[in-house]
Amino acid sequence: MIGHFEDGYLQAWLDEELSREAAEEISLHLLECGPCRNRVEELRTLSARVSGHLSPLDPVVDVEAAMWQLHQRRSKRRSSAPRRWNAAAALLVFFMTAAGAAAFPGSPIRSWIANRGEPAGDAFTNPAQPESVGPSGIAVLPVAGEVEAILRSVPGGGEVRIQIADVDALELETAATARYTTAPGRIETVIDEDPPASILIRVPSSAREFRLVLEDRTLLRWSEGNFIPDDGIQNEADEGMGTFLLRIPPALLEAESADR
Amino acid sequence: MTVDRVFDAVYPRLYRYCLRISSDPDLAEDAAQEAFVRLLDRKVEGDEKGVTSWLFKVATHFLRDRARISENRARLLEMHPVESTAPVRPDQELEVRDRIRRVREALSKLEERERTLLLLREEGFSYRELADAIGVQPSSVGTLLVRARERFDRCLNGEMTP
Repeated sequence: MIGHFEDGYLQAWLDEELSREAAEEISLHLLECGPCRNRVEELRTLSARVSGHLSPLDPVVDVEAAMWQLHQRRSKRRSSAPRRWNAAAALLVFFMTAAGAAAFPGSPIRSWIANRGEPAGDAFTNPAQPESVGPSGIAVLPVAGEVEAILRSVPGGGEVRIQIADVDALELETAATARYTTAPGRIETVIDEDPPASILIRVPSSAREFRLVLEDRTLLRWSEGNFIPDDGIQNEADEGMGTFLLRIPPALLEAESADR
Repeated sequence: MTVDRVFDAVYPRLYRYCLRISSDPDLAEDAAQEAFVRLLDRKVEGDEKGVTSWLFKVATHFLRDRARISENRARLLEMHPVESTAPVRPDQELEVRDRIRRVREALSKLEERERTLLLLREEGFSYRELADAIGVQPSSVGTLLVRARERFDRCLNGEMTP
């Protein structure tokens, strides 16, 4: 004799969440089993009763007003955020310039410090500091647990750091000038800059599989909790704690371009 | 997928879910709006189903964080009670208000996981999505769902104390 099904199975059957075979098995069982039929009816009633109890809490939502509020909220935040960033960027550039100038042998700032505030003699021209560019980025949700980041035109010497993180979406950030295109589960990034780019990729820890592709070649995979670099890749390092650093050698990029 | 379309389809559901969880219209609105702000600011892309799940998850986390702050505030209020000055809304009948109060009380007596499960299912999420939201196997969802509903039912009928 067949026993009775547990509530969880019967509820899943009611909610049409079982595989076809499992659902058929329960359907056949219900034809013969009165207690299970009664329990299904109880679960159905319970579900309807709970929904009924919750319905008085349902609000009437004015979607247009909500959309207007959303735009207000965003524009308010945008109008305040850049000021903070501008101030922070200005301070950063100031300190970087001062530190750079002070470190340069024979710089007027160094001489001024050495002379305890007395005017310096001959001055060197301070070498130009690289312009500080704020990071930009994009995020895309995995599809069936899989995500992919494709890099194009990344200059040799560039650095890609991959972090397995507690995020929901694959996040890609770079301070380089970049263009992004996305498709479900996929980010494609074109770096529009000559100096070696530094790229940070955060991979959702819930993703089953992640692939990092340079042009058409898979450089690195993260699968079942492990980093799997391509055999031909050197200059990489599993930094532990779910972080992987990969430096893109010029030769690799040239080889990729020649292949194409 | 356009944001306008997702907003039209998801916002009312998300707001309702947040309101059921928090019992606070202002906080519910805050949570639902914040989820969409993050969606736009972080340029999250994906199919409509994935984005909907993501929005509900962000709003749930937002409400959870706010609940922690409220708990601290409640503790302080307990030490230094303040008289309520909230006006009684005349358009709500006494009976309906009492029903709403009892439903909210019953929801508040559930464990956080049970409440999330119950309310997300009411919004039509699949077992797989529910399992992902509360960190269990999809095969456990049916059993947990029945338990949550039974507990809610018993709390509502005054058969359980917190």
